[in-house]
Amino acid sequence: MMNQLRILILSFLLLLSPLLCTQLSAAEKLSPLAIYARCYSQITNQRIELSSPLTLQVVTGSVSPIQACLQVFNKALFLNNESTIANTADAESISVVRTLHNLHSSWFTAKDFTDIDAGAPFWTDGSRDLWDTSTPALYLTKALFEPTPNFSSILSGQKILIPVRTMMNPVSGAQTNLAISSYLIKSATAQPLQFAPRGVLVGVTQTSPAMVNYPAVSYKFMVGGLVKHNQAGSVALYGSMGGGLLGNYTYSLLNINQNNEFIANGGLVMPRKWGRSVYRDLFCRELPVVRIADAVPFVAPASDVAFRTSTGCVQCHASMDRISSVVRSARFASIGSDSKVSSSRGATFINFPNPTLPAEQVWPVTADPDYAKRPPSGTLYFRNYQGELIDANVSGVSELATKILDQDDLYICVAKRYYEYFTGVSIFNGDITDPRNPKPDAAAMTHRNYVIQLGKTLRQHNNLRLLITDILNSGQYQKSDGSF
Amino acid sequence: MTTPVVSRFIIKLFITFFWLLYASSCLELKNNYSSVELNSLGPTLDRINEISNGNTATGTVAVDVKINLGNAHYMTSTMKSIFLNPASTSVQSNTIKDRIAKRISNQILFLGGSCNRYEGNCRNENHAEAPFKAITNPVRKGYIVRACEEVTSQDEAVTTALGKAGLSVIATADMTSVKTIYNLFYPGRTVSNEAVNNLINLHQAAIGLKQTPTDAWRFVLYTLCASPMMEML
Repeated sequence: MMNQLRILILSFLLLLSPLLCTQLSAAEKLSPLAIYARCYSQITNQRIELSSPLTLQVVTGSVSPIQACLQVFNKALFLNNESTIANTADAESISVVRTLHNLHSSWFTAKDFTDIDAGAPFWTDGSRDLWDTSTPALYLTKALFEPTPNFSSILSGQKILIPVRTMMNPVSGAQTNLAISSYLIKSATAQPLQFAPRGVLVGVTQTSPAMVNYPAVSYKFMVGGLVKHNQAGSVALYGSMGGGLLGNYTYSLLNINQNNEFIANGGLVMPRKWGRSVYRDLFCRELPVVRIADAVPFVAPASDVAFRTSTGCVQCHASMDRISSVVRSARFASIGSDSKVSSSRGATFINFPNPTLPAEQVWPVTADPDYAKRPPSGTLYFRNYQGELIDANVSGVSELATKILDQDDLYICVAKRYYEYFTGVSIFNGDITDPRNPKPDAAAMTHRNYVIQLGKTLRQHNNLRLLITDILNSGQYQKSDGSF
Repeated sequence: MTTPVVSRFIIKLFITFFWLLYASSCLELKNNYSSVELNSLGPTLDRINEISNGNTATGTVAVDVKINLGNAHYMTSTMKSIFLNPASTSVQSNTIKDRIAKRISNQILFLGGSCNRYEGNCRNENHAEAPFKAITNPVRKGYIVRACEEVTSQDEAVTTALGKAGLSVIATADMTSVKTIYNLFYPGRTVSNEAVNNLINLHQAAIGLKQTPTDAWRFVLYTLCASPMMEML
């Protein structure tokens, strides 16, 4: 009998499916309750409570669905002088911060420290204990929730941001659950070494540059060029080169992904993953970001650097290698035993020694063993969304960040991401004047132009909350399929 | 003559296959980006060769729109909010919680919704690597359908869901009651009279087959639970 009923259900489902499918496919103007349910779920990752007073106000029409949603959002705004939400026990506010911070984290290429020394997870685990892997996203989260909106702060200043979680000084690391006593690295100040905060995210605050000391030990001690074997020394726990998230040492640790032997030489050995990530993270662009003709001037047929002899290769390297040269001095140090011996644990640290040699004149066509010792100049090299070639020389990370802030593409990228998250519509924000790229049709172009305008408006008001409000109030958001 | 076990398996297989087809046809409204466009998003070997050869793309690309779906956290919240009575400590209530946890909350790799090691909410180390947004894949639908089947098989889930809609198991399935229960599952969404009538017919057919009122509503709730609309944001 049960199976007969299942067959009965199935037959009805088959009958129902075309009806439901039609409803899904048609451009349905959503009801106020449906809009509120959508918005609430997107900012909290939770379902609405049908019986909550705010839901009932939406149903009766006394509050618009977007106003109601923004009321929930605004509860999560950080206090003026605390850098945290007003009520750190309010589950709804915590959900809002958690959801949007996780969204921001998903936009970054590098989401975790990776095993830069093959088969050596002990240092990676230590890095996870010390630094929050979502550190770059904290800059966006702070810009979204801070009382005074200032989007451009994500790429300016030397602020080193850390999360405010319910346990700011945990007794054990989030990854290993080991105590501080398991670590041989010690704080260089009177304060004990601290792990990355643990618990729910309730705010974002800043910390100061800090060093940690490590002792000389007799067992195998994996340190590279930065420090000498078996000698005590110190490395940076927190540091910044300016330029907001780009200059935060944790961003480089997450993105460069090299080991203790790494010394950039301007040829094959470069921190180029960092540059690839910058184009992805801040412009929403994949390499190549220039045209073939833009690569031709850098092709060197006689070069002993293999990729310099091919236009197809140089088309990517001309952008990513030259932007990455602002972090050319990066050196790594994996401190600690190469085993899980208690009291000998460590992590992989990064440092950026000051230049000691004069600058090069051009992008070298052969490997330069002194490249890492030269000033950290670099070049932002890409075709923007309109097809204009941006070819800007910069003298370091901070100036690079300033140049990026000067581009509409940064703001369009952020608008594109929020627009896709809320409406489901993904636009092509690349160079549509490049003949390699197929042209968006009329509808796709309408969405693209809308997002470009959102981006340009963001650049003017510098306020992520206004950007999101504009998207939520758009006609597209309030239709089932995101259409105009 | 098939055995009941085989018959049950075939029916389950058929249902799953059906929902997979359903999901794939309904949830991606348009995905007309050409392969050239997709390749342009990443420097694949083919793409590099194409660039080296100086090829150019032709044609146009349509709007890339995908309906936003709930990830594992959202789906957990939804299932609990419909089927779970927070005040209950019964065995059935624990079974409902267990089924939701096993089929939905723990399936982050298939439903999306990364965890955070610093919050201590990772049931599995690799869950921290999962995407934040919902994932669309055949396994996802399989887990959700299975969860719906297992949860609605508990009488308490049926009575709880009906109770949240202001109904009881002895309520008649009519235009008003079905629309009310529809609104519980998909708040504020419009439903055609034809779809409502089909759900009414489903309920009445079960009664006609001498099933209990609880079973009759169970089939309606299962149908609504397994619909892709349940997953939509």
